Amino acid sequence: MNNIMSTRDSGTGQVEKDEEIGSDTFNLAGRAYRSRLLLGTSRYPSPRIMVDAMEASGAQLVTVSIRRMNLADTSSGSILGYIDRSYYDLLPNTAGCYTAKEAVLTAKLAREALETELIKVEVIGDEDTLLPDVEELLKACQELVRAGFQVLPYCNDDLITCLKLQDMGCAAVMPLAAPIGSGMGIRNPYNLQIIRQRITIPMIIDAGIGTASDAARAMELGADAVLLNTAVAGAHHPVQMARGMRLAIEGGRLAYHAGRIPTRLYAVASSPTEGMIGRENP
Amino acid sequence: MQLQLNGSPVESVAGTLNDLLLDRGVDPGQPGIAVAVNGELIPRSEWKGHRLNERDDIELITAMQGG
Repeated sequence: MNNIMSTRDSGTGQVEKDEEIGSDTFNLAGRAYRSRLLLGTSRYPSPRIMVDAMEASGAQLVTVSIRRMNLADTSSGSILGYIDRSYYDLLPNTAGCYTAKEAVLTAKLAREALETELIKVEVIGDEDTLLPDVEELLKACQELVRAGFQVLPYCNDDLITCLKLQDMGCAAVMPLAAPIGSGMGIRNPYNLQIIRQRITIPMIIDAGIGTASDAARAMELGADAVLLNTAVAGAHHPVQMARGMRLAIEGGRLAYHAGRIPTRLYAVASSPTEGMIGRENP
Repeated sequence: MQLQLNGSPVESVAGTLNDLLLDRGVDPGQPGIAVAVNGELIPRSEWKGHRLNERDDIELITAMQGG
């Protein structure tokens, strides 16, 4: 099941050298990534901090939105000047779209502008919760898969929706942990666990992560990767939080592979119970 | 000719999409931009040949910060 952890030699009791965590690659849409953190590029205090946070996070895939060019100042606006595309892959999104039609056109514009087949499909149904409109999302994803895109849908933590998205040929599913930007963490771990067990394509937890422990928890539940933005960009020290997220995701991934101990209601002593001083030997 | 560009009305004598971009100070050769006319993507390779019509609705986009 796992190929990244050390294995114990039952003959000598010695522990073989750990393999590098780097050998545990995250395979998405025909590419192999070392990092399991996908980072958003929005809401940083400055472009400099964004660039430093991207570096500290170890992310290799960063999200961008598609928006009207500012015609009043055509030299400003685009984020591409800050992103080294020889290192980072871009994941454009359809954020802000409320219909399949809008999302499909936005995806086509993104592919033309950025020369990537990858698209994070977001079709929103409600402006206060930013929850997905499942009906429109499925319609958009179906059309984009047929048009040759590598489709990464932002979706509810709903098994049936995820199965439909998988069946139509999406490259991954991206169920939310909690509403976008809420920082509420993983509100329904059991749904995510079920989705992970029942689908075969990657599951990326997208939205709702608030802090490093949320990201670690997502990975412990079996997520293949985590996509986050506000938790880093909105932290008091975004660059530190970016590194914290990186370590948490690596830690959570290792814990998932290692296999956690079962929980118990009562204590189990970890130190030997024999040889206590001041007592009679049995 | 009256056009709609990124949601605002513009008056332009540009005959083609490429001319319109130049007219608006946009380098059509720059990376990271794309155009739709009346809800249809127009590939970059067609900008020079794409003739504009009265009241065409043009969207010119680029990549911005996003999550």
